[in-house]
Amino acid sequence: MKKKTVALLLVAAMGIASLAGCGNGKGENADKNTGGTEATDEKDAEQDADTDKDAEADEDKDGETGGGSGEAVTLTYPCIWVGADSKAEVWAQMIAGFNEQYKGQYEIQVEEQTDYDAYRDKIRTLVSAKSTPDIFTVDSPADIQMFAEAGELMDVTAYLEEKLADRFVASAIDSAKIDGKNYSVPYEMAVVPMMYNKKLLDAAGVEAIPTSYEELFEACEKLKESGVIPITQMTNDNAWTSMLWYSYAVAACGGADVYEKGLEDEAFVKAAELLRKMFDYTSSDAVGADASVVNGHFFNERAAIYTNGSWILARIQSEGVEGLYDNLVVGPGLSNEGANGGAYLNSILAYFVFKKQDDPNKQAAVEAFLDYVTDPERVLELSASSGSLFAIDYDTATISDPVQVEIVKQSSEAAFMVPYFQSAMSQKVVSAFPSALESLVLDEVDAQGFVDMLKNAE
Amino acid sequence: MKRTRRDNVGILLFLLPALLLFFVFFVFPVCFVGVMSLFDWNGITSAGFVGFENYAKIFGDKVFWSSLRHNVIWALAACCIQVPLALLMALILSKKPRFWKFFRTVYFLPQVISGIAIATLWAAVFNSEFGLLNGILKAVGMGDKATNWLGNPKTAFVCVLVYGLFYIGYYMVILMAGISGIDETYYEAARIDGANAFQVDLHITIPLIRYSLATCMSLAAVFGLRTFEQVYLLTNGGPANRTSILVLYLYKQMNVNDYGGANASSMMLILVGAIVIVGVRKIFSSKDD
Repeated sequence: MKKKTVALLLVAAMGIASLAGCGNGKGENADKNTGGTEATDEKDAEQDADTDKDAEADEDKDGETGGGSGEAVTLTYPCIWVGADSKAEVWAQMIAGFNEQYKGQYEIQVEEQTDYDAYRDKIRTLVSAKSTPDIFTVDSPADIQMFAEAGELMDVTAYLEEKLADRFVASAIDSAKIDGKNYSVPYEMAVVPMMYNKKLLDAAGVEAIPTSYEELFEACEKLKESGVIPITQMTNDNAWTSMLWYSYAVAACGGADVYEKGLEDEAFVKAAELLRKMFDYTSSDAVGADASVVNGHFFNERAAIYTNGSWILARIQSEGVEGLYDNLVVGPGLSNEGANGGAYLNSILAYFVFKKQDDPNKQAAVEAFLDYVTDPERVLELSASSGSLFAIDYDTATISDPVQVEIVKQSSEAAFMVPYFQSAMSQKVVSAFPSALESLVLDEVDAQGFVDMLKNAE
Repeated sequence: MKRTRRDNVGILLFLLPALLLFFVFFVFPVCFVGVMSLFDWNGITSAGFVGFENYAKIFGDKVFWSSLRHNVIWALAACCIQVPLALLMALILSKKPRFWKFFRTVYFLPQVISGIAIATLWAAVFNSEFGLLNGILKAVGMGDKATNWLGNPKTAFVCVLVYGLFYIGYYMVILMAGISGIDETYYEAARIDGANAFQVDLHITIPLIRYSLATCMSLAAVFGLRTFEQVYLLTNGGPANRTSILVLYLYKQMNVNDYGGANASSMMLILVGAIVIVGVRKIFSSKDD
């Protein structure tokens, strides 16, 4: 009998222990993350006066500080701008600065995530499980619409229009609206130039930067003869840089309003023909290559022509071979058959999105965060350090980096702006793009077949 | 001895935690997947019942069938190549030749190394621009055979499949454990009867470790069916879906928020897995079981 009683007690103890093991991670995490608030931001010292004002205003509004219980209101924030991301350093300083400025009142708890695909999966899973983080970023308007329909997102329309409207570039806020409401805040912009290694072009006898596809292919022939890879291409993951090349080709074949007719536009087939030809001038490992391979070729001067968003500039400076950045020349889109030259790819790359809050203190914390990260001076610092451009109306005249200055100049003077393919198409089409591209490159389908594969995915 | 009612309650209480975990973490998810495979669901907003439409969709997709075919090849290769290789090594090392402990450790080592590290290493071996394999081919005057191993439809699947087959340590250890449990008197009797080493292995060792072999075969088949990271990291299913496998196929369905379709694919994976396991157990079961 005694044995049985002991056995029963053991079973009960094991059950309780296993349940206890599942819980209470929150407190531990909270303790761990508090350490992050010790960092300081020099700029914040200058802005203490403003801070006090903001804090007072919040106290007036809420009638109490923070959560009302004397504890800081914490906001969870899975963050993708970490690790090797060019914004990582300054962004971490900004978060630390926010935590310092609102010490005891609000606190951002950053959860680092370095992989974009994993980040997307994580966010979708969290939203699906109704465990939406308080702050996160999204790159797809389709995802924002889906999360909003699920009732998980905070409507920030009133706050944006009343307090922050003048901080954003023209029409940025309006373009992010869904049924007249802002469930997202446009933040980072993808401004995508074509990039050339002038040293390699000169060595190959290419005297001028190509302005048309005809000139591009002539330059490619010369580069190939000189023993370097003319253009970098990739097909793995989301085939990012090849998708950008295709976007430029689509713009050259169809003009500014090419996406209006969708994939029915003949421009998509013509652009596929151009893209297929570009693969004749790429590296032998292009099929199956991911971003690291493409970057490796360009950063190490094995390849001469490349395209990516302006955010890559900081990485070219830090990871590229010596002198690469000095030889970097940027240019706008090319013309095709004498038309549609000078385009620039431009889309919103990251929207800030916030969990719908019932707690007014949390809502106030989110608003304070928005106010902080859209401050034009801070955004300027973030932009200058990383090469990224933002949907915030900051003074780009003070940017000193010559390549970044040139990108800003060229994009502002561009013949027309056009979104890149990934941001203009549905998730299903975007997802089908890499394997359709591989079929095109391996000559399993022709240009029309490539577009048909994309249409079938829809 | 007759079991009392109180004994039954005791047994039930001991079983309860495991049963509870089994239902919560296995039975419920499988039922959930089965039910949700009948819905059009993006994982976020509410789902709509569509009957067997998701199944019709995946059955009409040639990528699904090629993924399934790759899985079957994978499982067969694991059973027919990997496990026999492991058996061979287990038979050799069980005879305890010199340095047998060293080799046992060496063969098992890849099991404790991250799959990401191994895949990265092999990606470097197969790379067409500066990979080891093409480097060796060029060095021995066979540069014309150099290719983009992971980007060439003719070689990609073989490359992704083959390297994993050499990691036999896991099965080898299971089989060595089985061999070590065989009573020494069987071997003494065989030696007295004049059996050579090959005959001893064939007629004594292998039959007596058939349950360990069945376990290895089942595991190899199941690992073959649920394989993911090897393909995801090396080719992501490319080129042009030539290396796609079922788990990657359903992962990509989830990526486009087609959770209904992903659940239908999951049900097919569970079904194929169940058939394979039952098949393997049938093959290795004897009449006296």
